[in-house]
Amino acid sequence: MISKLFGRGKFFRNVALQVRFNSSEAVEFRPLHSSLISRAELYVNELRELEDLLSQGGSFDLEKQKNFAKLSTIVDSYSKYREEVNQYKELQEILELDPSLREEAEADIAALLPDLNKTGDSLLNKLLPPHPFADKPSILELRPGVGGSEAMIFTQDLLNMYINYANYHKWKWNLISKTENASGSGVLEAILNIDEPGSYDKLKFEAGVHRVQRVPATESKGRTHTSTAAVIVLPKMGEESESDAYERTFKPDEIRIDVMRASGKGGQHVNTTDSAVRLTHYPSGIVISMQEERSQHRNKAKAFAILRARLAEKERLEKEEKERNARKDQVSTTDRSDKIRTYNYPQNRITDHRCGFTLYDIEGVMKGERLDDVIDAMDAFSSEQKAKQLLQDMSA
Amino acid sequence: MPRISPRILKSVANIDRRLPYLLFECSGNISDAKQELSWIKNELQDANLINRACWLRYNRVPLQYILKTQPFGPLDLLVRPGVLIPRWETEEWCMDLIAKLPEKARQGQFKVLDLCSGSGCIALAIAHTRTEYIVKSVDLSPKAIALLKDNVRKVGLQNTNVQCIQADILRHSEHIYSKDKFNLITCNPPYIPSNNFVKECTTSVKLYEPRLALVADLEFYDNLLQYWIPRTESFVYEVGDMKQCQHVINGLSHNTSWKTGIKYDSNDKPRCVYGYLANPESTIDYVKIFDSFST
Ligand SMILES: C[S@@+](CC[C@H](N)C(=O)[O-])C[C@H]1O[C@@H](n2cnc3c(N)ncnc32)[C@H](O)[C@@H]1O
Repeated sequence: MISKLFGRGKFFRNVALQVRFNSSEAVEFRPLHSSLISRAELYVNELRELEDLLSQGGSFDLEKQKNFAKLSTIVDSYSKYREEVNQYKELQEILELDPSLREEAEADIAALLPDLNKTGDSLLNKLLPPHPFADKPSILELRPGVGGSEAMIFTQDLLNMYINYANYHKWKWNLISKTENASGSGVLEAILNIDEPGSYDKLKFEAGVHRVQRVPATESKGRTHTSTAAVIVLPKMGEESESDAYERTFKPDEIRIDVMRASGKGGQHVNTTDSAVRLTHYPSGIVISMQEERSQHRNKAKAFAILRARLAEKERLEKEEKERNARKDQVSTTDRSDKIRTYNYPQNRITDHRCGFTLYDIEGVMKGERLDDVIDAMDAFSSEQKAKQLLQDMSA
Repeated sequence: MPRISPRILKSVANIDRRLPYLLFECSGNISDAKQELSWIKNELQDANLINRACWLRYNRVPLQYILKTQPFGPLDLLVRPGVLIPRWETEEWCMDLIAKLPEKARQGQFKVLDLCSGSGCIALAIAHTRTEYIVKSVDLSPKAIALLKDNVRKVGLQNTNVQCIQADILRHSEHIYSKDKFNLITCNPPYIPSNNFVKECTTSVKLYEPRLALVADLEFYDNLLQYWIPRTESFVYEVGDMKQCQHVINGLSHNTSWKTGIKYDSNDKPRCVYGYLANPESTIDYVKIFDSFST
């Protein structure tokens, strides 16, 4: 350790200076709470038991295999964390015991800390209970808010952003439906299906009201307008099988399916192309209209897929709400805040209001290439919040 | 033709100059016309073809013939002039029925005969979702048989138990697959009485779809009672009106081993008459299949 310290001492001198100079902003070690550490220790023991079983020639069923994989990643992350914490402690000791090595030790600490905190965050993430829909594909619904046709144009821009984002990650996507405004320049409503399992986990942070500030193309006087668009993110629940299985999951009296109510005899008498379907779910009051497909059967299947996604999301929100109410002190939450993000074109700035993250690259984000910067910031923010909550719950 | 005001025609032309052509077949409904245009654009791409398609639509050519395909349940089928375009009502009952058909039939243990197959929509949807079934089909029209064969290939069923023959079921029923008995016979026969044809069919149907596929009254239901009932354990026949349902149900009322019923479509029209043996020779539980089919 010491030799490593000497070896790197010179190299990091500049860094150390810089750090001291900015000491008010300098990174600090954020140790994980002891209760989280004891949780990690439990996993270490559990993994050891499984490994013993394996070494005695025991066979693993699928459930055990999954558990084994999960435990291994947690334990790996925990070992790395422990190792780095030990390094950190050694350096602290040196700092106190040997003034002659002070500068070198400080330099090494400065170099170590960002890594250590990152390792801590990633361990924390693994220890937190996963989101119930973390592995699901996703469905995004976009609608214009205030701002008239500029809001519709912005809705189209957001839709493009998510399509670009999916392309960027090589995720399969398709438009479930899209209704354009009369002039075709903007969108009144769009539903985007992203087939990638786990895409919900990333995109869930996109839910909420997005605000744009810019000079609309239609504005002759060059004034900046503010408009909004709303995004809803739903988890896509299990694939519908081909044979109408989706209908069987609902009781007949909960559901009403309306089709074109044509007069006349129907059947062979007409060859209509109108395949629109309206699906009503009485218990929740959800109504879904679908006309994008050329077959009524397929419109029905899509409508049911959306209904199931909406119900799942609704249920999750209700459950969260209940849990929140059960707690004494409310924590600021990431899911509910209405205006979540601002896209300021004149300043080339994107600010996420929930986590306070700002990025100066609107084009990069709209092209889908840097949306991850924003999402990652939200992800970090949200696990921090969750960790806080977890600690509170544990000490309560 | 519905009358559409010049003002509306002009305003939709501002959105897309091809929309006015589509408006007539869409009974003046602008959102339907837009939807059609987007289907046409999606499938044809080339600007000249799109323009031509809109012109054909103005002349009442069915969209399905222009795009040459029609989705039916899980399948994308070919359609072409001379063969009836599958209807949503047929798709609806057919997919409902399939959902109720036993999934785990032993290889070749469940035999289906689809009469008046046309494009093959019913037969192929069943064969596609229930791969262990044996599915046979018949149609009188050579154009239908040719299309059906193309569709067998289109949906990738060429190496399976799907068979089809060209025959007149009103004349040669006893000779059609004469050695076979069936578990299920499906049929969407021509059911528009000739004196109603002009009055009740839309212009597009009258001008562009084959009369052979459309016009008949009770012939095919009589044919069912006389020739097919002895050779099957259950049947589903599409109908055009209540009278045809009753004809079949009355025809079987003296025969206590047959249970019968009527299925309505989503537009609340009687759409199928069905029947089954409560105590069949085979071990198939038809009560279970048809109990939920009717609702
Ligand atoms: C209403 S279409 C049904 C086509 C297809 N099954 C469907 O549901 O779309 C009736 C079909 O019966 C065929 N057909 C008419 N008379 C027939 C006969 N005597 N024997 C066999 N098929 C006949 C027609 O060629 C036509 O394809």
